[in-house]
Amino acid sequence: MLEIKINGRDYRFDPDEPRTLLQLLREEAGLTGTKHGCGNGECGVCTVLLDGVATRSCLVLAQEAHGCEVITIEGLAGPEGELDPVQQAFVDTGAVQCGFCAPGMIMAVHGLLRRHPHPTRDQVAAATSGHLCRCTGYEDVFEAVALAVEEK
Amino acid sequence: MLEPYRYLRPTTLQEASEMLCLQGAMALAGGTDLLVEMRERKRKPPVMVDLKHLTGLRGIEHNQANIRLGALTTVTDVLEDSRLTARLPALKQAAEVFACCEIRHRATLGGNVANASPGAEFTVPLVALDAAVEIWGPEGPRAMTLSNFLLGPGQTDLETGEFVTGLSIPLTPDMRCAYRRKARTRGMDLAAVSLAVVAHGASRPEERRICLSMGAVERVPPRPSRVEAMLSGVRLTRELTAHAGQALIEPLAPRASSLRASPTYKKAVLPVLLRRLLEELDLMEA
Repeated sequence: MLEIKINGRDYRFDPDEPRTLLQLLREEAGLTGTKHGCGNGECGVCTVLLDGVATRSCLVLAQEAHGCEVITIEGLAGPEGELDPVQQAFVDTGAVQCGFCAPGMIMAVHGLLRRHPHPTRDQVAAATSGHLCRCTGYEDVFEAVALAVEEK
Repeated sequence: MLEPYRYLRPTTLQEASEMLCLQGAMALAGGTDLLVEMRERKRKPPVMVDLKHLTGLRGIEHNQANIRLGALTTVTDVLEDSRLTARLPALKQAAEVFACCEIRHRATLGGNVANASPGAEFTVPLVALDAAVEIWGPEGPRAMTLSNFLLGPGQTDLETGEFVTGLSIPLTPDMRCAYRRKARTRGMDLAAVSLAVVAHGASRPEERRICLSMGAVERVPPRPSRVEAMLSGVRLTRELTAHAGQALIEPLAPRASSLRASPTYKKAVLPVLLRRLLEELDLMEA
C-alpha cells in the first residue's frame, strides 16, 4: 500500500494508480484546498509541505510521497478552526484578494519560516516570487509575513 | 493524465542499476523536468526508478584537490553551503536564478546534467569548471568529463542501466569564476542565453588560464578553445576583450526557432556578458 501521513492522519492509497501527489490530495484525500493551476510547477498554487519542505505537489508522483508526511492548507488551523498565525496575518493585512494563490502562498511562507524564522525581505521575495498572484497583492504578502513573524 | 508506470525505489547502487536495465526504465531524481515531460506526454516511461533513497548520493564534499557534489544534492543545498558559494560563486549565481524556491528544494545537480538541456543552469558553469561526471552502472563505477558526457539535447553518454552518482570539480590555485544569464523575465524562466567564465591563476596575467562555456547557443554548452587561448596568458585590455567577444560569436549559429531569444539577440549579448564577467572578476587592466 501507499502510506502517507496527511495533516497528522495516516492514509492508505492504491500504490499502482499513476497520478501526482496533487491529484491524490484533491481527488482521493478530498483535500481541495490545495489548488490545481498550471500543473507544470510554474504557478505555485499546489504548494504543500512534504516532510516540512515547501514542495510543488504537481511535480511529485504520489508514490514518491510513500512514507512521507504532508501538510496542506487544511492542516494549519487548530481543532476549533482557529486560524494559524500565517493565515491570520494574511487575513489581517488583506493579503488575500480572489484567494486562489493564497493556499500555495501560505504554505510557501510556512516552508520559509521553518528554514528562516526571521526572514529578510529578500528571503520573503525569494520564497514567494514563484507564486503567481494576478490580483497583484505582493506588497501585502510582505506585510503578512512581517506580521506573522511578530505574532508567532 | 499520466500514462501507467511501475514505480521502483532501490536502496543500493547495484539494485538501482539492475532496475534501470528494465525495458524503458527511467531514473527519477527531483522529477522537476521529468514530470512536466510526462504530463505533456513527451515521455511515457513504463518504469520509474526513484534514486532518492540511495544513501550517500546527497551532499557536498570539500577536498584539497576538488569539490565533490553528490548527484542528489539539491539546488538549495548549493545555496546553503557558504563554503561552496564562496569558493565557486558561479554555482551560487546559477542556483540563485534557478526556477523558484520549491523547485530549488527538489531539483538535483545530477538531474540537471543528466537531462542535458543546452541551456541548463548548472551545466554551463560546470563545463567551464572542467567538471567530471561520476557514473554507476552494471560494470561498476566510471567517470568522464562533463564535456564528453553531453552529446546533444537530452542525449548523454549514459548506457542502459547507468546513472549519474556525482560531479567533481578540480580546484586550482587562485581560481575565480562567474556565471551570468539573460532571461525574458527576472522571475521564473529558463536562460535565453548564458555565459560562464573561469580563471585559473587569476592574479598573474602571464600564467593565467581562462575557460569559458555558453548556454542555449549550441546543442551542448561548448568550450570555445580558440577564444580561451586568446584570453589566456595575456593582460586583458578592452580592445582584446572586444576582439575575443567577436571571435566568441563568430562560429555560432543558434537555432532560430528558440522561444526565448533570437540568434541576433544571443550574438549581441554574449560579447557584453564576456566583458562584464571579466570586469566583475577583476581580470581587466585598468
